[in-house]
Amino acid sequence: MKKIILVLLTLFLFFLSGCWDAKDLGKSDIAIIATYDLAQESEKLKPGDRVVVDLQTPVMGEDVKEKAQVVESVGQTVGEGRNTRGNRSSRYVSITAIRSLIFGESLASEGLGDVLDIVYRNPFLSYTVKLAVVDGYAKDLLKVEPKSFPYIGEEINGLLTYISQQNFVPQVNLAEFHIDETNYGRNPVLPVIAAKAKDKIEISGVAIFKKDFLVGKIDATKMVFLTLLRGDKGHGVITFPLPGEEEVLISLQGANSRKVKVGFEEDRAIIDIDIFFKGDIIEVEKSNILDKYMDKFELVKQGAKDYMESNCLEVLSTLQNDYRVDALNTGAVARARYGKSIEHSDWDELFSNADIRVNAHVKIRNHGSIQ
Amino acid sequence: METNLVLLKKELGQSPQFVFRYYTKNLCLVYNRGFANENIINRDILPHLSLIFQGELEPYQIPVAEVIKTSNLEQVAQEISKGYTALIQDNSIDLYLFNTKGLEKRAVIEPPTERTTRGSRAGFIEDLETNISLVRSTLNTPALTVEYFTIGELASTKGAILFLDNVATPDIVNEVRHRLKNIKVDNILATGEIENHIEDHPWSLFPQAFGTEKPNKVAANLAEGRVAIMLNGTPYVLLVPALFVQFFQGVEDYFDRFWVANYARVLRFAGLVLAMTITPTYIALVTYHHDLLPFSLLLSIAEIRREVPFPPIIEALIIETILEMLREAGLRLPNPLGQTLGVVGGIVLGQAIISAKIVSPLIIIVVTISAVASFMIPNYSASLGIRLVKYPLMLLAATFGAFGIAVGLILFITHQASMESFGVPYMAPLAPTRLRDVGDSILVSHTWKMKNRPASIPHQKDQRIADSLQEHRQK
Amino acid sequence: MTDNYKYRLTSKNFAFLLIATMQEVTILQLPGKAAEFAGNDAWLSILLASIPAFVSLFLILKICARYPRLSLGELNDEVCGVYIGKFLSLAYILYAVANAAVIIRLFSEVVSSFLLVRTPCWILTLVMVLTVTYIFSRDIRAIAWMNEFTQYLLLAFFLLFIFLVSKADYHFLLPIGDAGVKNILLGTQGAFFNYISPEILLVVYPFIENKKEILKAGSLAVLFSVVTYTLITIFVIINFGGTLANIFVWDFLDLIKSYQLPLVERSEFFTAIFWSWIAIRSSSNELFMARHTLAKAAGISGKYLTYIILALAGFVYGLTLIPETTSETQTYASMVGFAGMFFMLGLPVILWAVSALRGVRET
Repeated sequence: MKKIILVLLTLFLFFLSGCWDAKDLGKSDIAIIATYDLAQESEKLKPGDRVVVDLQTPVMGEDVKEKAQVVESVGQTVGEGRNTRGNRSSRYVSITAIRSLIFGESLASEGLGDVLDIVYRNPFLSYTVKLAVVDGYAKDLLKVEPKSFPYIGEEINGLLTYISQQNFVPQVNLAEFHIDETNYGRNPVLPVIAAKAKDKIEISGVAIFKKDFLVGKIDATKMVFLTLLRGDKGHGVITFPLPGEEEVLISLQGANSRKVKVGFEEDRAIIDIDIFFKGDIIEVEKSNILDKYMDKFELVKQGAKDYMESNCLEVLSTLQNDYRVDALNTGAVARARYGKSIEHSDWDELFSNADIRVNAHVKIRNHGSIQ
Repeated sequence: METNLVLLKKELGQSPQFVFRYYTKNLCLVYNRGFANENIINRDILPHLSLIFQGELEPYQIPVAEVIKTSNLEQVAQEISKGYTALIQDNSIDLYLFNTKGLEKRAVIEPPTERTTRGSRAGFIEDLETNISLVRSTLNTPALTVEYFTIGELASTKGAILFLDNVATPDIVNEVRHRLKNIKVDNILATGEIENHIEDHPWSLFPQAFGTEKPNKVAANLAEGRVAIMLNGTPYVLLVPALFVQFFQGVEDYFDRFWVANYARVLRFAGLVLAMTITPTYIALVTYHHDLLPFSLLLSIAEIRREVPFPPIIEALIIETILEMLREAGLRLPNPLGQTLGVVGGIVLGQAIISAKIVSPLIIIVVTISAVASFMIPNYSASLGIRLVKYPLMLLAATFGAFGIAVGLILFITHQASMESFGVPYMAPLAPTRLRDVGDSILVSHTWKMKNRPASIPHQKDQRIADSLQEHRQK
Repeated sequence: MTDNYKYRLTSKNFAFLLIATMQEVTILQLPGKAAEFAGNDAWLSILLASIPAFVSLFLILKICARYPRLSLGELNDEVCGVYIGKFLSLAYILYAVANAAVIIRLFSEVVSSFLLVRTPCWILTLVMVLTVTYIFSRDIRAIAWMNEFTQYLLLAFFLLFIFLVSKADYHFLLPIGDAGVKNILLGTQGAFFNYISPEILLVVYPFIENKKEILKAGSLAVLFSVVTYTLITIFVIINFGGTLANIFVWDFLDLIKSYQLPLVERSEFFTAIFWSWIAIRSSSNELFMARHTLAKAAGISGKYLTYIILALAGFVYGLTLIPETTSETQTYASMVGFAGMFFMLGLPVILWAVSALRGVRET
């Protein structure tokens, strides 16, 4: 009995000799954001190169010139590019803390699946990293010098984390993208970031994907309705005129949800989308201060409903006619109802020819401190 | 008598402490100056010696409390060394022993290592009889059985086992007797040595007998069916069989308010886990699993680690060793110096070591939390055991990260689960999970709810309290 | 460390022993393997695959009731005669060792893929084999108690993941049964490996005190496992969908990666610890069965037991070195799964039939 324990202990001691995986934190470059672009001619190291990956890593220490540095890699694929990165970095580059992946528009149009494959396979990247697309080249975004953050990577991460709490923008992480990309009847969308000035960035719209190809973009003014239609959780403001008194503008702030029903009439799909909006009146503009809108709740609700429905129909017509893509994931509901029989059809086509009805249900909770 | 005396002198050996008080050539008192109370001899025995000499008084009629008649010279020699006075007459082979014990005893005070806020402050002293009487005064029942034993071939020491006749199972009592009888040593100094001889797993890090210096703890344990082992000359009393969870319970848990006591006990168990695992977790996270650290912490740790020369495991070992040295040194120093040591060691040394950039501040925090958590454990030997378990876990964490910690923990749990204390599974009620008892081991339940004795210790009488008024009122 | 039946298990101990042996590292792959055929209805396959386990308990009790004091090593000899008996015992021992080897190797690959990427696999398997050796050299009571205690800790861990339901899309589950009966049945074969432990009852039957409660305890244990597996599969499907579940190799781990716990951003640290425990527990249980059967079949006890333990340890380690890639290991896993089905269902039937025909019983 004692022999066993002694044998085991001796063998255990052998292990103290090697730590294959130990990485010293102090000697690592910790990347916080990664951007992916198509390689421009000037960047290619050899003719076949296609992808450029930039990682922004904070630089620590007191005697450094810049707060962050960008490590760039070029190659035919993202994987090959790692070698160039190896040539250029003097510290171990750690990618486990990456919080967002940003893609250039041109790369997204050619399909993100190839670039994302390495990301899916890597066990160290969290599935909660946020994704976004950029107007133009993603690496240019990294050149923005923000005033309130030490480096732009942090600002982008923050932007992508909080957008859905202050506006109706879809906040997409890697898991959601992967799910939407793979399953039947679903298509992903991604927020689009643009650099507004030398030191500011903002969301300029939502990119529509057909599986993993970028096919279109809904701009910032209309993206609210896309989010409402999609049912992605957001929290923001809807401003609309009061029916009958078009000068009066009312703002409602609240959250949304949706329900979808899919049916078929002959060969045409009938899709019913019910949008539920629950909000508070936060603003009434250009109105007589003595008019009490509490009595006119029904009117307010009607106004909101009309406004939302008409704008949603506009967005829908863009999706159905211009892009011919179901970016609303209604196909998933259809599949849930019809099962295998529908999986043979091209849902995007069915969607584009479908008769879609939008119903907005508005609920007003309260109206602030004054009447 | 001459022969008796000569033989007795041989038994006693040479020592100026032995006094041979001759009354006449034929009547002699023998006693030990250091142990006997000479007042009693002067007042109660000497005046009557003339009558004994004249044959008008029997030695039994001398007004001393205990009188033993014997012809065994060995016994006489032993008892004289305990404070008895021997009366030797020339016309008989019988010798009489009078109990004149008068050795100075320490006062019954609170033991320094087992302090309590509420509850009795009495603590055991070195004298066996007083200790037994302290227990009996708390647990005054005819069922309290006391059995003496002696250990030691060269110089024997007297001890006693105590148990409740109607609660403790005969199997355990017999086992205790059996193991005690088979201790064959020259002499024994403390109950700690007895523990060594009778425990099931002498190589284990954790004690398998619960030791205490307080009579109320002994009484409580006896009432659950345990057996107490006392030794003359040691205030430290052993209680067997012992369970792992016992070492983390304090008696005052039952005296305090329900919620307060529960909070304290849960905190203690959390402390146990924390003491064992926090340093290894730090090492594993910082060496291997960078992606598991919360992001904001990651950057600040990276910044700190840039300036520190040693890898986390070396850092941890350095600080842990220094801490242990401070602790051990603090035990040896007298009180005022001990406080200085706390200031010097803890604050100044810690501050200096950070400024010199030998270790990072984070490891100091981690190790201090670990140490404080281990000090929460009421039983001293158990807390040392926990501190030792930490080291292999640290090494495993340094070589294999989280996987190493998992391996270490499961080995620890299995090792504990396979230990037994006098036939009782050591990890009860956690390992053979006896849900009835878990309510009392990790948490505290109301005393009026604990109707039955804990199932983990074998016992005879199950029910200990009947339906009480409190229970009715709370329904 | 003795094989005396003086050391008794209660039926509750047996239940936990069974649960621990059933829960193996393959839970991590479970949804994917069933989803290969059954798609979104993988959870139905998981449910169906549990039926043989219940049946097996019943069959084993029938044969063991005739020989309450014999463990498998002796049972085979008693019923089938010396030569065939020893052959059957040897087959069982090989199967149990292979089972343990597969578990250890699979788990080392998980650790290698997710935690310690550059550490060579053979070091990880060595560490596991050493740990497992220590555990299976203990006596059965200690093993059962350790299983029970760690099970409570694991339960607490699983509870954290209830919140997975929040971001899920239940549409993935509908329509139920869409994959068709044939596909659902095909999906069950991926689940077999997870249910093959009732045969341990053949080995530990003599240890258990309360024979009447075994059926109840065992059924509850299997039921608990079934519920756990089904819930995990459902979580994976409603979060990822059947198509994606098929692509992932280690589904449950990817699920955990996509989930952000409130305090600790990534829960992989605790996952690693608890999954190590699951793998270590089940492999040491299997090896204990192998050791006990070998000891009883060869009539060895006392200090020679040490040599058996070391020999088994070496043998297991050797087996873990054989496969080169994960898919090879998975092939072996399926093979062991099928073998397990035989030992679980076939062996008790054979023994019972032979025993009934020969009219032999233990008196």
